[in-house]
Amino acid sequence: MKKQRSKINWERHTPPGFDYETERSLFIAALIISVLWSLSFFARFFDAVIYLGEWHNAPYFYELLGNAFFCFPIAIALMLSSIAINYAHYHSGSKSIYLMRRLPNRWERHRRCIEIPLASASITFLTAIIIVFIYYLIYMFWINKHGYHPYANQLKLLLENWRVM
Amino acid sequence: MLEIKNLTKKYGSKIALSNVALSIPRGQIVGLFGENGAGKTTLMKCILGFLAHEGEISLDGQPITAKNIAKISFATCEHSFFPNLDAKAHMGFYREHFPKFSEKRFRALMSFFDLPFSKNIKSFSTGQKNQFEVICALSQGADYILMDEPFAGNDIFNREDFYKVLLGILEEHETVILSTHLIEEVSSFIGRAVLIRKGEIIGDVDTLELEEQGLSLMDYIKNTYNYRADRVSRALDELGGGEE
Repeated sequence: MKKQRSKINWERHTPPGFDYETERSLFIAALIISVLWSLSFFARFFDAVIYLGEWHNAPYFYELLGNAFFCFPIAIALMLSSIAINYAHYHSGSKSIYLMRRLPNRWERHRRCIEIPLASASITFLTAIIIVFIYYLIYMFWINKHGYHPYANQLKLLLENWRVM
Repeated sequence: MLEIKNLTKKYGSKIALSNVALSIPRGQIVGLFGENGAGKTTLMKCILGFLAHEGEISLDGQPITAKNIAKISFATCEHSFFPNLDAKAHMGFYREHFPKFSEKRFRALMSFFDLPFSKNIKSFSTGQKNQFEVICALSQGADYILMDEPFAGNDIFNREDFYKVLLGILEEHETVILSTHLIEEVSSFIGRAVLIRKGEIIGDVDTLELEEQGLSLMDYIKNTYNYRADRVSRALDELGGGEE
């Protein structure tokens, strides 16, 4: 019973008749791959732990992250680009756009195209932020444990490395 | 009353509609006739607000907006249903979005045309798809029902059935604007004929007036269009002469 209710709800947030199951699977896969790829942080982190004695200074946080978050922007771009696919659905097989444009609720057609991709992209973005935060906590814990002084401007360096600032 | 004043629509430099003026009161069945590309579909799309245009279009004295758009329904040969949904899902969708949706009429018409409720519309034949399109338009609960060549691809029996049903179910306040090339088939039940040519209204006549004058709708259209009945025989003569 619960499962069916959830299914109906998903249908209400996508264009009518849209193959939302494929889209949902793709989004979940993109998120999982992004999270798994981010685990490459630990490969660099354990390298750093092993070779710590040979290093004069602890590595910067952004150096340890490397390209661990490479997949997240791709996943977000994929999710956002599906907005266009959702809109195109109204022109596929028929001109259901004519019906959607006649609805008294003019936002309905936009809502059904935007809601899921935007929510998925937001969840993916938040996941990335949370993972970065967790990795940063691990990094700081390790820095403190070994008596290194933390570098200033870690966040700025990280964002610069990601070309955000 | 659907009122159109000075409606002009241009596609780049091409004028699709030029200063169209039309008043359609409630309860009429209006036939909209014209050759391909005359502007019939463009006129309907302007009424529905699908195309930007110049001029005024009002519905019962109000501009057409989200507030009153539900008063207009649209059946098109391009089809506006959701092909991956079945009739039952369409019923739910219409019920949710159109407060005056008539489930009773929907079910009655589905039953009359013997259409299945649980098959995706994309699996229907062309004729069934057209029927379903018209069923949705008639059941929406609209006062003004626009139909753009809704029978393209239907056989004569289907069409005959449809005409009978249409006449039987329409209520007094319901207005139908029917764009079609099947002039002779619809001439018996339309109350008014509007002729459009190259984006201009060139004829607008009450079919009762035509009857009184002893004219058929086809005669009226041919006269208004300056149709030259001898042009085919002359062309054939010329072709025949060329071959000799």
